[in-house]
Amino acid sequence: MRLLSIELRKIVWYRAFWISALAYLVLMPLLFISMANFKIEVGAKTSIGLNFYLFPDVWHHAAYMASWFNLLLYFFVILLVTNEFQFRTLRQNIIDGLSRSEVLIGKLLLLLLFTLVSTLLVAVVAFGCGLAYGNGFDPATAFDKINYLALFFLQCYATLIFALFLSLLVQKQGLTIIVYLFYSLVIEPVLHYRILPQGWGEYLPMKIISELIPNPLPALLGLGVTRTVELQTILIALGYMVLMVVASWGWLHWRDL
Amino acid sequence: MGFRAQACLCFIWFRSCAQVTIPRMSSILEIFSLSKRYGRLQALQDLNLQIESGTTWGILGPNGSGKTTTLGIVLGVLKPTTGEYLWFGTKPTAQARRRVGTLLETPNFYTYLSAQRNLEIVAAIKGHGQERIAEVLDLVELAKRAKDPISGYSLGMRQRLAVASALLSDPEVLILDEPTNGLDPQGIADVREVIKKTAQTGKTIIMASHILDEVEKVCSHVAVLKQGRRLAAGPLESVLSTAPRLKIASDDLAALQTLASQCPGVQELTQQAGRLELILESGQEPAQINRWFMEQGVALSHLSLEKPSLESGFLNLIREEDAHAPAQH
Repeated sequence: MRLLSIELRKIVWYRAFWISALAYLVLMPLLFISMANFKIEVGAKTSIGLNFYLFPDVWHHAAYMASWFNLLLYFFVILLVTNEFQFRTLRQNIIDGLSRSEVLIGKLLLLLLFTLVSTLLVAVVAFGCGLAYGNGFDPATAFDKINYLALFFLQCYATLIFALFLSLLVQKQGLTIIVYLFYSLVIEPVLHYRILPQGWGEYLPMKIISELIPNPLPALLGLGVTRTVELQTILIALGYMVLMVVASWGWLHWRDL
Repeated sequence: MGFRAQACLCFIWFRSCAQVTIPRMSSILEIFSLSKRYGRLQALQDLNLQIESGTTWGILGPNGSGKTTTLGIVLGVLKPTTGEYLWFGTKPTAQARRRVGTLLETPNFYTYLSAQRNLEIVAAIKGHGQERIAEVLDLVELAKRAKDPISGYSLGMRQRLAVASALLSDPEVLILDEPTNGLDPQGIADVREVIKKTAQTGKTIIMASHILDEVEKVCSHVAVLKQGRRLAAGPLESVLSTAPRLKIASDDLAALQTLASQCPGVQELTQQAGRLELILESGQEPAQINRWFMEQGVALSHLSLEKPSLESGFLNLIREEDAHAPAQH
C-alpha cells in the first residue's frame, strides 16, 4: 500500500493523467453506446441492423471494443515510466530509499489498479447497455459469457506490463513508442509470416495477447463462429507476463541508473 | 582561520569527552577497494575510505576525479565493478539509504508537481518527515513558492529545494554533491550556513566539491581524489600541508642548491623560477638559515617566508601526483 500511495502521489496532480483518464472513461462508453444505431447497408435493399447488446454476448462485445482503448492506457504508461528516466526521478527515488524491487512493485501495483478500474468500467458499460438496449434480461443466461471480463482483465494487464517492460528497456519516450510500433507492425508480422515455420507465429506475444479476446464481428455478421479462447492461450499469455516482469526485474537490478 | 581551528579542536575535544560513555566511535560508511569502470574509462580505482560518526568529510578533486561516481555507488544507483561498502556497519540496503539525506548532482524532481508535493513523495519514501515539510521549505526560503510547480523554478531555486529535500527527514547522515552549484553569492552563504549548523548538531556530513574554500569552511576531514584514485585522506590540516616555505636565491643558483642540500633543518628542497624553495623542519627559523649560509660564505640575494594557503597545499598535492605519475607507467 505504501508503494502504491507513492505512485499515486506522482500522478494525482498530473494533467496528462487526467486527460488520458477522462478520454478513456468518457470516449469508451460513448462509442459503445453510439453503436445502438449501427447499420450496414448491403446492396440496395437489405440493411442489417446489428444488436451488440444482447445478453450474454454483450460482455464479449464490450470487452473487445474496450481492448482498443487500452492503447490509450498503454501510451500513458509509456509516458509515465519514461518520464521517470527523463527527469531522473527514478534514480532519485532509489537514492531516497526505495529498493530497485520496490520501484518495480510500485509500478506493477499501479498498473494493476488501472486494470481493475478499466475492467470495472467495462463491466458497468456492458451491463448498462445490455439492460438498456438489449432484448430483456434473463438471469439464467445473462452471465454466461461474463468470463470475457476476466479475459479483458488479463489482456489489459498483459498489455500494460508490456508497456512497462518496453519503457524500462528503452527509457526514451519517443523511441519507446517507435520501438513498440515497429515491433507490433513490422517485426512480429515478419516473424509470423516470413521467418517462423507455419503455425509458430500464433505464439508470438502480441498475437497471443490479442487472441485473448477474439474479434466478435464475423460471428455477428453471420460469417462464422467465434472461436472459444483456449486454456493454452491463457497460459502462454500468463507465461509472457511473468517473463516480462522477470526480465524487467533483472534489467533494473543489473544496470546503472 | 586560527579561531576556526581552535573551535574545531574544541569540537573534537568535546566529542572525545563524549566518547567516555560511548566506548568506540561507530562507523557510518566504510568503503573497501571500490572500483568502477565505464568501458575503457577507469572512473574509480581501489578506493578505501572510512567515515566515522560525527565527522564532516570533504571529498575534493577536480572535475572527473570520481567524486560523484563514489557517491553514486554508495547510494545504490551505480553498480561497482569491484569492491564493496558498508552503511552503519552492515551490508547496504534501501532501508539504510532512508537514514541518509542526499543531494546528488542535479536536483531531480517531478516538474509538474509543486515543491510541497515533491517533498511529500520524498517523505513517503523515507517513511517520515511529512511534518517537517513547511519547516525545511522555510529554511531554504521557498515557503512562498511551495505551491508552484517546479517547472517554473530557476536553477538556484531547484538547488535550494534539493537542499530542503536532503534535510527533510532530519537524517543522521547528509551527503551533498556540489551543494552550492548554481546558487548566487547570497544563496551560497545561506546553504553553507545551513550545512555548518547541521554539522554542529553532531551529524555526519559527506560533501563532494571542487571548491576548496567550501570544504575548508565546513569540513574537519578531507579525502582528495584524482582520476579515480585517492591521493590522500585524513584530518584537513594534515592532508593539505600548510608548512611554511622559505624562498632563497643567490648569484650562483646551482652552487646554492648543492650547499642548501647540506643545510641542517631543511626538510625538502625544490627549485622554482630562479629561486630555491625550502620546507623547514618545525622549530627552524629563517634567521638561523640565513646565518648558516653567511657562515658558509654565501650572501643571499633573496630571502622570503611564505605561509601557503590550503589552496596551494591542495594544488601541490595534485601537482606532486602529476610529477610522480609518469614514473608509474
